[in-house]
Amino acid sequence: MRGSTRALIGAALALGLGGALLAGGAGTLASWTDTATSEPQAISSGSLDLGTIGTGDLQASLFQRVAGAPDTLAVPYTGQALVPGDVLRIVVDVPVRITGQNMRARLDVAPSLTAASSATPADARLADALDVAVVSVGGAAAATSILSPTSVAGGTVPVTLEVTFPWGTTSQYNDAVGGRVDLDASYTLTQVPAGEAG
Amino acid sequence: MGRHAAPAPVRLRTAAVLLPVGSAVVALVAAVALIGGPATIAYLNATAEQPAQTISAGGLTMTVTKAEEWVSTGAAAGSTVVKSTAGLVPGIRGQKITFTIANAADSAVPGTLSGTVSAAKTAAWSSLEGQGLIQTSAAAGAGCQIGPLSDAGSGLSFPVSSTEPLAPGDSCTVAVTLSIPATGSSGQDAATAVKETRLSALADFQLAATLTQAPRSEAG
Repeated sequence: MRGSTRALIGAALALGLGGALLAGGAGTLASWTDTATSEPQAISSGSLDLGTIGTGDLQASLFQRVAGAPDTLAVPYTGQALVPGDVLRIVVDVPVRITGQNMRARLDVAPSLTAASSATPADARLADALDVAVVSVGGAAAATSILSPTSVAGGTVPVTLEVTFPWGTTSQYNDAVGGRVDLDASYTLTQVPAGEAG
Repeated sequence: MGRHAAPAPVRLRTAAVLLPVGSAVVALVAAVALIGGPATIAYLNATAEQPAQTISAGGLTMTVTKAEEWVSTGAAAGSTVVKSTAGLVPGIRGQKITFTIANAADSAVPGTLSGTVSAAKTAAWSSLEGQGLIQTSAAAGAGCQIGPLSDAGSGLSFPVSSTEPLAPGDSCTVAVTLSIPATGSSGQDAATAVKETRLSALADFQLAATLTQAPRSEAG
């Protein structure tokens, strides 16, 4: 018999002996035991959502900004025609819902002015003349803001936009008279890591 | 012979080794890209659009009208018979030229008026003026104001402005009145003196004005 064969046989015997000891001796061991089941722990996912923004969520006012002087008294904007120097301020109450202990989300606002596809030269000129900017998001003077469940407890986040018709020079914008443009804005809410600074 | 045919399996083994190495390199590059670009990680996200707000640009329009009327200059009733219905008559009839300047009702903002009323002197005017036989006066209605009449020799002019910005729909007036007195500066009879210039044009008064956008008032 060769050495390798003897080794195989020896290993097989040892394996068999070990198995017999384990199987035959289990019933002979005695130890204390107890079991319990915890209450079910419900786990739900966090979420974020932007609701539909309706016309009722927009409050617009019109005033005029003159360098070196206080702004004129703002009046409700009801479609009045804008002239150089005018500032149209729109406050949008953006419906926001955020849930989750560690949920943080960045609200980005992207306003834009567009003339109709069949724009007249005055439309295009007006779109070119007007400036639009995000003045504040959630009360902070910035174009974006990091939101948390507590910061949007009220269900809405106020966003302030301003459309400015610059004074320009005399007669600079005469060719924009009668022009019409649309102000649009898109809002994007994106989750960010909980530790991300605003 | 059989031992010399061995090179082909060697090339296969080389390819078999390079393939996993290439895959590993690609995987490594992808991993590095993922680690270095946390912005590409997909988070929860929502978007919304706000209703479009239409904005229109308003304008500023000024209108100027000129009206001419004959006015009595105070001759005693019945003292003179005037057959004509138009033209200056010494001591009896003068002419009033009224300019009405308005900020159009469809203007979007108030406007500040500035301008000049002027007229070039004709030869007939100069002739009458030399004899002291032409009188000119100017006046402004509510909302307008005028400056002093300037006689430059070849023409007359005076500045015009608004006392305050004209609101859309508002207007104001300025007027020039011309007359020939019954007697000249040296006591001569004007009717006789002006015979040579009878029916001659004296001047054509015109208004050149600009309405400039004014800031909206505090009252809005």
